[in-house]
Amino acid sequence: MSIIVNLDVMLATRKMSLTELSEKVGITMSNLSILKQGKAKAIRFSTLEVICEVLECQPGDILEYRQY
Amino acid sequence: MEGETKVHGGPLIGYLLTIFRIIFFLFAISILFWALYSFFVFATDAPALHMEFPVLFSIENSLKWQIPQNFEPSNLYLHNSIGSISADFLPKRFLAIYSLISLAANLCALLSIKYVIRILEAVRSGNFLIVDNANRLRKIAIIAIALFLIDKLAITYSAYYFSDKLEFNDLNFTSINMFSFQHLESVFGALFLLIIAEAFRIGAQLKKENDLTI
Repeated sequence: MSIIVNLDVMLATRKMSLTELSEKVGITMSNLSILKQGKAKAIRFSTLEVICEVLECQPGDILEYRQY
Repeated sequence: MEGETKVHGGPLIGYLLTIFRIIFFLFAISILFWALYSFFVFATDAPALHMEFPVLFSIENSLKWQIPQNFEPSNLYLHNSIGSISADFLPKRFLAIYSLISLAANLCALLSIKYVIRILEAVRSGNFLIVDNANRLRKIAIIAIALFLIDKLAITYSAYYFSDKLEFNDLNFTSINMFSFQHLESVFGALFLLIIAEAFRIGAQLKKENDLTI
């Protein structure tokens, strides 16, 4: 897929673990892993909103479009 | 996947699974014995007394019958009949071809039972709406159509073989009659199942997409 999820980069820069993010946003670890690995088919605005809120970033920081 | 909504099958699924497993086991054993017996008959000159072969026939002359309340005696005609015969000895070529057709039909039936068991296992584990089950449903439908055709082939072949070899009073043995087309409704059932399978596949794909929406 051409949409890259940079969740791992954002977590690394904020020195936050996936478990910690999972607890703060209220999304299961397995679903966050799917998102992090780029296996997700879609992301809800509500999910994106809560992740941006916790990580204090913009949606564009998490999602990136790359043309292959 | 942890994020998926899994609905585990109730006790009825467990009972059905047990019943189908028993049916599968007994059917597999019976096919094995039947295949061994057929091979024994074919390999040796043992009589094929326990093997039944379908024949189609009609009665040339009309029969008389009278309902007690009815004053006029009526004529009775037997145009389409099906029966089965067994014989001490039959040509090996006929035996081999008929046995192979019957074996193919039995294996088709066994395979469809296997797919039903796989579907029930998936239901019990909570993964009912999956593409694999849609594929299994489609295979069951295709097998049902194949089974119908093979069954008709077996009847027609046997009836055709015996039609010019048997002589019995007023009986006129034929290779084809109304019974050559019976159980045609099973084909419609199978076609309906094919439609269900395709709807199931679309549903499974939508569910998968929904499960991967975070």
